[in-house]
Amino acid sequence: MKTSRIFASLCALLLISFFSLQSVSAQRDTTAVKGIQFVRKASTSDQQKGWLLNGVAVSGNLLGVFLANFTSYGEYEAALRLDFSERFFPIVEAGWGVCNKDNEETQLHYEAYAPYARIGLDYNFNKDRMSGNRIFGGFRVGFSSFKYDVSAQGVADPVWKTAMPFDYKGVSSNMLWMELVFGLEAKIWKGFRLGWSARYRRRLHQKENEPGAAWYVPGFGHNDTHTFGGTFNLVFDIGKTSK
Amino acid sequence: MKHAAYILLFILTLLVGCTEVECPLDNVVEMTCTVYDIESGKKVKIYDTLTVKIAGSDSTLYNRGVGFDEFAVPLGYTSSVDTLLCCLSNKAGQSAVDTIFVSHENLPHFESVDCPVVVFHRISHVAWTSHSLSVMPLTIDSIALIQSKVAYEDIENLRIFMRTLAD
Repeated sequence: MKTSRIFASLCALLLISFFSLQSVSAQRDTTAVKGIQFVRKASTSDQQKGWLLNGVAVSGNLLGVFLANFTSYGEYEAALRLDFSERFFPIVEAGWGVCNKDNEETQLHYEAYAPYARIGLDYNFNKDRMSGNRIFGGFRVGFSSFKYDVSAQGVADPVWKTAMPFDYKGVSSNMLWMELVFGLEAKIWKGFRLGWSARYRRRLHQKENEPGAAWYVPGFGHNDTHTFGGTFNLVFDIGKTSK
Repeated sequence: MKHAAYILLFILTLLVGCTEVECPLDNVVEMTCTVYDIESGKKVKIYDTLTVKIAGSDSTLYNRGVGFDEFAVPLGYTSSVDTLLCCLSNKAGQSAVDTIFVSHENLPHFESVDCPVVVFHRISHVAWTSHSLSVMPLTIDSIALIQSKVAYEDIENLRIFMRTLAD
């Protein structure tokens, strides 16, 4: 049920993102000149090579906020990104992961609230760098040090007819992981952009304690050897690319 | 752009397929005991009847086993020492009871919010009683602790050496 809600919301976000890209290209078409058309050749400053700082962008992950408020876990996340030559985008993402999950069948309750951070690099594969739209491929390395609570009403022993208390508070854990990122981003108005990213996350290291591994890891999501995730970002560009 | 949208849909399909919860299929936690002959030091089959019960309770952990060379019994979630009564009987109508005392630590194991909590154990010490072979010509001679951790894996935890009259 929860998975289908997430799927529906991601599809909606995809459509918004897709149509925003379409509208931007449509705007460019309507400004085309009839008759003799002069095509401006990209100047050397436009098609910069190497690592020349074009601007800075700050962004917020709207999907994480949505998930945090309407499902059992999500993230409040912001990012700071540099733009080098409209090609290389080093990025730092930081956030606060929240999880409050109950399962009526197993009578288990899990809670975790903690910060996390990721650092990485995106590369813009869009050949037309003047279009303002970006096709990203990149990677992240993420880390979170957190504590979680897990409890149950009591673990019933079916043979010996006893019940074992199960209540763990502040179990300390941490995790290091990496992410492969694919994303799209479109200019919507002045310095504002909308974009999404799909992510493949792989666990590199985790600290496991007595009751077992953490079920949710801030910034990573549901704990497994690997998992998939995504973001939907509202981006504000500061610098050349914001114009 | 069209290709990118297809790629995203593919990734979302994977996302949906990979978020389903899977609890361990083999979630039985039992202490596995193997039976050896004290003289030959080899694994042997017991053709007398064995029933394992909890002392002070009507619960039966292993019922009327015949022709076995190993058996498995659960340990208590809350107790620190379990007293197991091994009731032996044979076709001649003889019977006797040997007792095994298993001292253990209980380790709750959390797998997922969607899976029930299970309890693993770490065996610290094993003690036993024997009976005279004149009462019944099969008894526990000694017990060796092979693997202290009792978890999902069906591995040998205790090696029970049996002594018979023929020896």
